[in-house]
Amino acid sequence: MSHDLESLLRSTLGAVDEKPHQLSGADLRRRARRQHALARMGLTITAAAVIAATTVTILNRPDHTNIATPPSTSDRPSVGPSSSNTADPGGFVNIQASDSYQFDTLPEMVATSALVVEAEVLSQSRGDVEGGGSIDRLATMHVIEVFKGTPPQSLTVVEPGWDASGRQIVMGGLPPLSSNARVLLFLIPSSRPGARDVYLRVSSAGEFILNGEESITTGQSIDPAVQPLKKLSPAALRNAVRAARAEADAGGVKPRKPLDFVTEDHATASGSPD
Amino acid sequence: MGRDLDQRAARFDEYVATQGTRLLRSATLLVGGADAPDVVQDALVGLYKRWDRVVAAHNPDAYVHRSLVNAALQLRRRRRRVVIPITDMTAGGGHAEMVGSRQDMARALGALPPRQRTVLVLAFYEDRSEAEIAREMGCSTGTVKSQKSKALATLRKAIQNEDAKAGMR
Repeated sequence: MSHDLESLLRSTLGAVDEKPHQLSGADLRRRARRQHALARMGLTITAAAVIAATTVTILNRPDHTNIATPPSTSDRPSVGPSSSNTADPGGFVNIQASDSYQFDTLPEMVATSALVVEAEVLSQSRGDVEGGGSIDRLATMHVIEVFKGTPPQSLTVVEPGWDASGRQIVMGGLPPLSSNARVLLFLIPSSRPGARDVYLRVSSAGEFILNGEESITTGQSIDPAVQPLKKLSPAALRNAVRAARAEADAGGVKPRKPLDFVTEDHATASGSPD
Repeated sequence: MGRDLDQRAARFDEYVATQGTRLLRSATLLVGGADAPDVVQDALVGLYKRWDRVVAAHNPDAYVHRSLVNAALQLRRRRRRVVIPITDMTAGGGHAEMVGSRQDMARALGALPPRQRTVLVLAFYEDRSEAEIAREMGCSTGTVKSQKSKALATLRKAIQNEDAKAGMR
């Protein structure tokens, strides 16, 4: 019986009637090449996706010290106490807040600033200046020239750091200070408790990047004081600041008072619900 | 470099031309007539990019067949029952009863679990030893023996049932 079964099996297998099909080596080779190309494309797409995901992850990390590209300066801050946040897919959030100070003239800006210096960014770090758990970006500066005030031995400029989601905060379009950048800064001391020798820009008009032949305003300020200074050569800008300092010292130019947003906010909040 | 590719292409084309029909027959037994061409093509397309290694192998046919079996087993996991077509012509001249028995056997084969059918095809059609079957299927010879034993038992029972039905008619 066993022998018969195996004989029948062999006989059946030998009688297989394969479907007529002409296999072509050339067709198979073409298919192999196509598969190979698709696999390579898939790998490329996967690699690009991994790189993009990694980049976004790194940019979103709170301890990321690389500086993201700031948003376009074409967006101007609104006037008044309101502010709006624009999250950018690149990993930063632009806070279009109104400046505490608005300046009509350069002497006003100099008079209001505690410190006006030309400096170079030595290094960057992160820290909690306020002590409230927020993460700030700290730039240690090498002072090259002092136009006003007495800078501390080690000058630190504090900038907004990262929000709760880990995105870098850009305030008023001002880009984070980048390493080795040469800048002219209008500074006021940080009023945060525990902040020592730490300064911040007086407003979004308080920074000029001295880039070769021209001075570049990077903030979104539309202050009248800033407009004539745009595109001045660094030397011309320095002269303008010196002259403004002289004018402020000569008297007649008072420091500006910060805009009282708190009062306006309070008034709005306590007003009629309608 | 281009010359190497040309040579590889020529050797591949030659292999497909001479061995294609045999591969197609094996595949038909393994997965049935409907899927056999796809399985053979999948196996050969997958092998083409390393065809130099296939040719350089001690036994290129075994290399190709192993790929074919893998492709067949992968496909067959998706189908529970396959149709194995057999010719009505009997080798060496036969008779209608023999043809009927083969049809019954082909149906019983098609109803076997994929691995059991593969063992039988490799053993009784390809004439592979149990050790060779174990290598091709990536399992132990003990597994091959047990699968073969179970498969033959199932076939025997199926044929006996068919004979009993025929006796009642």
